[in-house]
Amino acid sequence: MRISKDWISDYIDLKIDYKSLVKQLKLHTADVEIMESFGDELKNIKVGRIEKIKEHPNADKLIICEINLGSETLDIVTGDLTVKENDLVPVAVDGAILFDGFKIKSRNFRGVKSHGMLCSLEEIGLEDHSETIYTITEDVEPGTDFVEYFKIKDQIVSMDITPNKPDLLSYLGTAREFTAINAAENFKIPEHKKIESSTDGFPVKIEYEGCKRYTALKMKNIEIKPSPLWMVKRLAMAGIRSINNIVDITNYIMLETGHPIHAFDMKTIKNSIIIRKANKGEKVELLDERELELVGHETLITDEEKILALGGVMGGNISGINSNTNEILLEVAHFDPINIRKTTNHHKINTDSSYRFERGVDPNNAFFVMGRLAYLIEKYANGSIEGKATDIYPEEISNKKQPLRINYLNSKLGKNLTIDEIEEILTRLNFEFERSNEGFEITIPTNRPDIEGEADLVEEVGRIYGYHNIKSEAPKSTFLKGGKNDNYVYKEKIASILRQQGFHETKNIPLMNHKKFWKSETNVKIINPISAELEYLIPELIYPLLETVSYNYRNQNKNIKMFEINKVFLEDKSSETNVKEPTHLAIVSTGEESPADYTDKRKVSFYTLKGTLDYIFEENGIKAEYKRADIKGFSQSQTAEIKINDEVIGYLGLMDPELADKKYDIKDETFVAEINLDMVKKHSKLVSKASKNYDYPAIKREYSFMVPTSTEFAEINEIIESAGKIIEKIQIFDVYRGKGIDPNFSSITITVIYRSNEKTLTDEEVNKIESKILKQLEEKNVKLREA
Amino acid sequence: MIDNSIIDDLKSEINKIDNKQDFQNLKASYLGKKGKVKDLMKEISKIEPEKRKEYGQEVNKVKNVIENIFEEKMEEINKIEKQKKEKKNWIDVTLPGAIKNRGKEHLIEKTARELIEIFTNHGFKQVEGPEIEKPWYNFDALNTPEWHPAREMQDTFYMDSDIGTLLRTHTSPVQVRTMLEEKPPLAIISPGRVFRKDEMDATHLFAFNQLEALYIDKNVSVANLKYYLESFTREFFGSNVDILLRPSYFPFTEPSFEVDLTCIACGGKGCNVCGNTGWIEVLGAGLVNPNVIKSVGLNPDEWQGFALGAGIERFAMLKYNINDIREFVKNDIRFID
Repeated sequence: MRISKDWISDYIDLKIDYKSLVKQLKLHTADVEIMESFGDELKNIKVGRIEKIKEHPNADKLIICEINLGSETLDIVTGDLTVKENDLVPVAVDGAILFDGFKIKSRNFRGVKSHGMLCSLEEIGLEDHSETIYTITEDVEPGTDFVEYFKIKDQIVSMDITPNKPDLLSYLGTAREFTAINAAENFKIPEHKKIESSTDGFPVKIEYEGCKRYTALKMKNIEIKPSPLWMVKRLAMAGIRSINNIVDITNYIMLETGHPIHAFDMKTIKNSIIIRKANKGEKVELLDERELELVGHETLITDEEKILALGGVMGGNISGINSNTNEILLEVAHFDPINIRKTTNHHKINTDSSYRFERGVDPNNAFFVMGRLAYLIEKYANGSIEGKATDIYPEEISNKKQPLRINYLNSKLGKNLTIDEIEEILTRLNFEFERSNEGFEITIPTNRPDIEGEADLVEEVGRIYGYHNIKSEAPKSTFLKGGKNDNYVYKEKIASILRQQGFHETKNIPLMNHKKFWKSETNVKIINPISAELEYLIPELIYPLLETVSYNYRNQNKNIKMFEINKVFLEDKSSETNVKEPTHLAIVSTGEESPADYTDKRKVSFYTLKGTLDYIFEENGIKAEYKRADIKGFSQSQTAEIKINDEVIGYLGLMDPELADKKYDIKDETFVAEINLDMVKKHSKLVSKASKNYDYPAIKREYSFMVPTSTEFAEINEIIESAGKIIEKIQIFDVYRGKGIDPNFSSITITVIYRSNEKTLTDEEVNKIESKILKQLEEKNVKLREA
Repeated sequence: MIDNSIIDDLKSEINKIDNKQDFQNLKASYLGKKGKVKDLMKEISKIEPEKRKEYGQEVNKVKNVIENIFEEKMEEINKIEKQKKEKKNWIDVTLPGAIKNRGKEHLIEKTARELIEIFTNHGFKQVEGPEIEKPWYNFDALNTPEWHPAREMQDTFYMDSDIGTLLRTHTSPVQVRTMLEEKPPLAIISPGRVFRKDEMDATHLFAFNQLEALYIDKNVSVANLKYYLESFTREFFGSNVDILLRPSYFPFTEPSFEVDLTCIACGGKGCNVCGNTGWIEVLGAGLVNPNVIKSVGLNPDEWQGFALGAGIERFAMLKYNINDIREFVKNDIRFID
């Protein structure tokens, strides 16, 4: 809420300037969003009286006004033909500066010299857009300085008001707060009429608990006219455009008291006011011409035949005040905050009124608010009260009592405040209280619905005392052992291996359009997404990661090695949220394997990426199995699924080049792997290299095989490995396909290390195993290459 | 008796030698089995017997001289050979090293790592939880019942209208889950990803990371909270920063604070970054609301606590001087490298 210095000074005497106030508010009340001055630029604007209107000799759409400025009379040309002789108007004379910084100089308008400009509220900064020159309704001497006389210049402060501070949504609440934080003194209640109620006032019936109190007062002899300029200006400071005196007064009192008010034209009310629950499907047309279809929980203000207003939110479009209004019914009501919230939430509607009712309005200030309304309406609209007020208040909401224990307060703050210090703060906060054995018994006023318990009072005392006045102190507490989470440590280990292997760590946004999930079916949808592009949670990490790779590729980075470790989201009816969130690892590589190394020009390949994965598996004591697989979007020749203990944990492969180009603009071979890290973790074992036995010498033998391309190395490996206990290690030395050998074969050279952990092996023992291996391989048509 | 010309000849011949092969050949022609020195030795038979001893001594002298010459030359040749080899192996030592590709840490992960390290060293235990939550854990248990105005403060993505599942708007539900499972006293941190329905701009992402800390014990005060805030911000940003607590509001804490930190950019003197106040808002904190303690089945008269929540992106931006939060999800190699 924007608080004008000019306005709030009606209720308090500020002790500090507005700049220092900002500092105090930040320390004790709430964050300050805006601190600005208004109208600093305005200069040389005077009150002038139009003595005579003359025709412009050369233009139909212009007139010449003879303006009395007290000491002089000047001719000023204007294009507003609605001005009348004897009107008092703001005049920007030669040398004047308007709100937007525009300088006024005498100039010719089609051959007639104009010595200034007649101003609308727009030029003074009080309206965004004005249709006509402003007519001053007050009786002011011509020549008076307009800006000074009407206190146009002002200072504005606006706080970020949190939901626990509904009292700050009004000038009076804010004025009290300023005194509480010692920025002001001499708080005064503004003038108001005494309101009495009776049972024979205007008939009102509450039929629904959405409304907690309804006070109505009839006023007659209303004269609808423009508001006085001081009110126009103050409303403008709050960002509210002046409409007419009655509408303005209701807005003004809402800002002053924090209590939303509604004024009905009596002519539109048939016999009585009935507050009832809406019917499902019922329609209401609001003041802003919006039509709502009601769901059934809304609170309606009606008469005997129609809806007059959506209670606490907005008036209907037939019951409003207009220039023919002469009798009004004023409503000061209290609506249930939750009921209002349901309504605004469902209909996506938010008004100054609903905003306040949702946060809590004081139900017990109805007569004061009504008295204040009556006072201003009498004064500025010639209205008079007819009869007595009607006040329907089925269940009185009374002040709550809340104890505050001194020990509790001090133990929470970590400070030893004395009884006197606490008393002084409570007094400044305007709380009534009594001393008790343990501290205080405090009466919570109904304008502070936010104070529900002792902790809220700790906050009140704490903030007024000032948290910056509390010194930090290490807790005298139980020893607690800290530590990192297991899953986190595991993820960190994998990430660190990948970074060592040259992969950049990335983080991507997990929301996408499901049309981009080209290889997945199951997906988790958001029912209120920001846009269709961000409607689904990713079922695999590769989708956003490939977008990232594509983005970099398009920006001329063609050598890319990246990974992400994060959660993916999959439907799972057995989970309490219907979604499971396994942690995955996705890796993408394209271009050179080691672009930073100019001595190594290798391209990434299936094997470079497989090497990275094998490194991860090895570091976790896992033996993974790779099986050729047909995976959507991947090449058949270079793609495998990865298994651990017969469980598929992911895949590795070459992206289909056509798809990589079409979807991601990537024109180089791109290798991708995605694995479920939770499953890898499940199979992980502690690796202890120290347990290896090397007491006896090894025998190393090298073999060059001609292997038919239909035979996979895994089969050869399996035969050798299972040949005997003395097989320690099988190492690939070289793989060759191409010139010089049969195209249906590869030449694979391997080294086998034989070692026993019981004795020194003899050649005969090795020969025995070796011939067994060679025989079995021969059965698979794998033969030793002839030298 | 012996003509010294053999030495003069050798001297002139050996001067022309510049490699090991020629050297070996020349050496053989003088000192080899059929060499010139052997020839001289053979001449002894032609010498008168009484002069033979003297002749033999002279030949040995000549042999020694020749051997010395070859030895010296040998050293020279070795030097030349070595130089040749060096020349062949000569490289430009200023060319860059053959660096292996270095994968870079993501700045958010790096920042999280630093923060997790700091808190775990202070005795906080790291906990994790689901990112899709039930509303009870994300709101109700945290003193934010349905229709509470604060539910609007964090615009939420919903997954399912029947059970009301949502993408967690903070990591506090993990704290709720931990409090329900473990007995106090407790000191935990719950770093992780959270979601808010914000439009993306230079300071907002709809998916970002938080680190929240929760401390529950029998006596926990604002002064204790200040102690931890001071310690961890100083360990993270440097020992010369101060903190300032200002009143704020979160439903799950009472009292609640915005925590300001001495402006990193100007050291508190006042600049554009801090709007000339010398302070920048860095996180939210407060004493745990008794209603939250109650909702996890503990007695608020027995147990108290503090909670704090920091945006990891915000901390990373401040520490590493990054102006646009979107850099963190772009993963632009030009930025990473």
